[in-house]
Amino acid sequence: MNARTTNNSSAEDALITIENLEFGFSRELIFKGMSLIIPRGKVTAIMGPSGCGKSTLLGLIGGRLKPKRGSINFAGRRVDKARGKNLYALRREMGMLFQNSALLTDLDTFENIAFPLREQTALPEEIIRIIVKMKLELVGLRGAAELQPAELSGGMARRVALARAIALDPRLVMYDEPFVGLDPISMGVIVKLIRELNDALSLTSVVVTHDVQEGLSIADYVYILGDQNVLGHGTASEIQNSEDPMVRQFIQGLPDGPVPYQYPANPYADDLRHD
Amino acid sequence: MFSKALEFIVGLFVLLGLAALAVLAIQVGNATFGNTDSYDLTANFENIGGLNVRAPVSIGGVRIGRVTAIELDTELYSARVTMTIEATYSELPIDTSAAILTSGLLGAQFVGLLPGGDFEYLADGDEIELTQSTIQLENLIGRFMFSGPESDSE
Amino acid sequence: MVRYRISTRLIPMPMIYAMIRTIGELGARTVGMVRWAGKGAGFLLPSFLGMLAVLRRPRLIIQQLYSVGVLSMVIIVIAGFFVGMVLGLQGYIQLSAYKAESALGLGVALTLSRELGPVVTALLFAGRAGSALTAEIGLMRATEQLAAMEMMAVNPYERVIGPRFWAGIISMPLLAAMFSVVGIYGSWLVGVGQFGIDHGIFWSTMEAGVDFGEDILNGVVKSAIFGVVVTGIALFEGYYAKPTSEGVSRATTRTVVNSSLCILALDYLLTSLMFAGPA
Repeated sequence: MNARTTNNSSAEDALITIENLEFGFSRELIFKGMSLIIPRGKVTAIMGPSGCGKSTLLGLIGGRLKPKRGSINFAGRRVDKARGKNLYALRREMGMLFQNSALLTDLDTFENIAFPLREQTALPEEIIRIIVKMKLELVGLRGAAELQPAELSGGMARRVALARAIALDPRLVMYDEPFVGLDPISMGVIVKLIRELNDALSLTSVVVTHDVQEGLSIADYVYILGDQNVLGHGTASEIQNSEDPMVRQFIQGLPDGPVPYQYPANPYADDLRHD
Repeated sequence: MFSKALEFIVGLFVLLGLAALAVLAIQVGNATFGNTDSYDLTANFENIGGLNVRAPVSIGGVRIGRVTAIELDTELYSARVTMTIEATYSELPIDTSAAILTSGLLGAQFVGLLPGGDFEYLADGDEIELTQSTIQLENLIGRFMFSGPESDSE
Repeated sequence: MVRYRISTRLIPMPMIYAMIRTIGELGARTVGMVRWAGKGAGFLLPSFLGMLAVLRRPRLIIQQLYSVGVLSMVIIVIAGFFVGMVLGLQGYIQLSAYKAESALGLGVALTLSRELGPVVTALLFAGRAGSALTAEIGLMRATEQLAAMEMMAVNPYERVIGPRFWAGIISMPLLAAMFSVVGIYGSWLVGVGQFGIDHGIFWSTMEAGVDFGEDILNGVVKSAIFGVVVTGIALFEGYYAKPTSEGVSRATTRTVVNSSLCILALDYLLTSLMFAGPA
């Protein structure tokens, strides 16, 4: 696999190609005519203000949501057209880390990681045990195999969920807000893991985050979403030096700018006047 | 994760439930398992009172069958009662008589058979000729109230 | 024309507006109901397929039988015992007025096997197991466990809904039978133990008057249907619960309220179908 090319993403290097995407839960659209490319073998950060549809995008890539228009291509296959068995076959090549880890609460750590193996493969118990131990070792939690999800701290739960996401050796791992609610040490651990796993296992990683510093520090390539479309994209340094006012506002965290501070309202004076 | 203890407890639960069903079926519900052999008899009564389908048919208080159908005989204008008798009691003399009796003063009604002395036996589909209708309480009371003094004067 | 003028005078305009509004509300409610029914059908079909698929993995069903059936057993048995004792007491007081105490066993057995067994068990089951199922699945939805399963290419209808549905349907008739039996022994304790009804008469009137097919089997069928309804409502409410703590708590309440009402309404319907008139 040609995973570690330093060239800019070209069509052959793309793992995921999204074209002309249109999506909305109701009549109001979240994406309109959006196109983007996730390069193979790299860490791509998807950033943007809350509510711009970052997590929705992961739902669309995973086939849990269906676009109104446009196409989503994963390694040459259409995710948006896949149904039933075909969709499940595609998902076996994807791993996903959910925002609140989404560990199955009725299983312990070991069984949570064994879960996809037991469901998707007919491997003998001995091999499953070895794979689970290996995955736990990768995230540094081999000693925590016996713990119940409730006994894990937020950072540990996320690492277990990460081990589970890579249990089936996927090509793609999606991270939904992996830094939210973590202490600095846990955050550092997750940042390190995302990078190391991506390079060691030749993965392609998509990190959805609104955390600018972590996002920029980790990503090879960055997309900034907003306003139903891609506001800007480029390598981390390109984004940092962007002249686009909306990108600048987001990167620098300015309270007011093209994204207004005020929720649309009547003029203040009118609202206060009694009539 | 999947322990033998859990399996055992669930097994016990299912067993207890099935045992409860068995108690209901056998001790309470008087279930007869398997198709026991039986044969049908009919009898015409002038009045069956409150006799119901499924009412017991008995000899001397021992249940030998059940009432399976009650219909009006449109030729005789009497009630035609069909009874299913267990095959073990196949040797009922043809001069057996049937009466509709009541268990207790207000109890449910049932068909009581009184075997005769003949050596020929009733077969499937035969009719019991000798019948006695239900004793109607209203008639009894009426006769008691109005006929007493008259019979004295005669 | 004349008639028309009279009618507008008789029915003032505000009332006409109110009528239009009422009709509009009725329409909106109908649309809502159709939407709800569509959602229900969209839930039942994959659930059914999931139930078929999970038959290959009986261990999943056994696990759920534990949390749905075994854990409901204690409350069912205790409740059955007390209900039986009350039936024995009330039945004895009423029947002894007619010197018909001997019919106590029969009366209690019929009441329990036909009605109280299936109905009270289903009501208790809705409160004990139904609410737990809704809360469990609602929380699985809220904590993205269901979404995580989907992303691991595991069908939640097969892995989560199917085994629980089976467990509910299997547990209910067993629990109802336990309820009835314990209840009959409860009334035996009162009738025979306390009031001195003859032991033999208590059982023999029961045996003579209760029919296996008519009474016991119909009761079992009833409770199996209640099992489908209560478990179905509980799973549906959990699956479509709003993924917030308030949403899950509301869904849990809806499960208990809706399944209780469904049980009672359905009980009337089933009774009139099964025991229609003295045949």
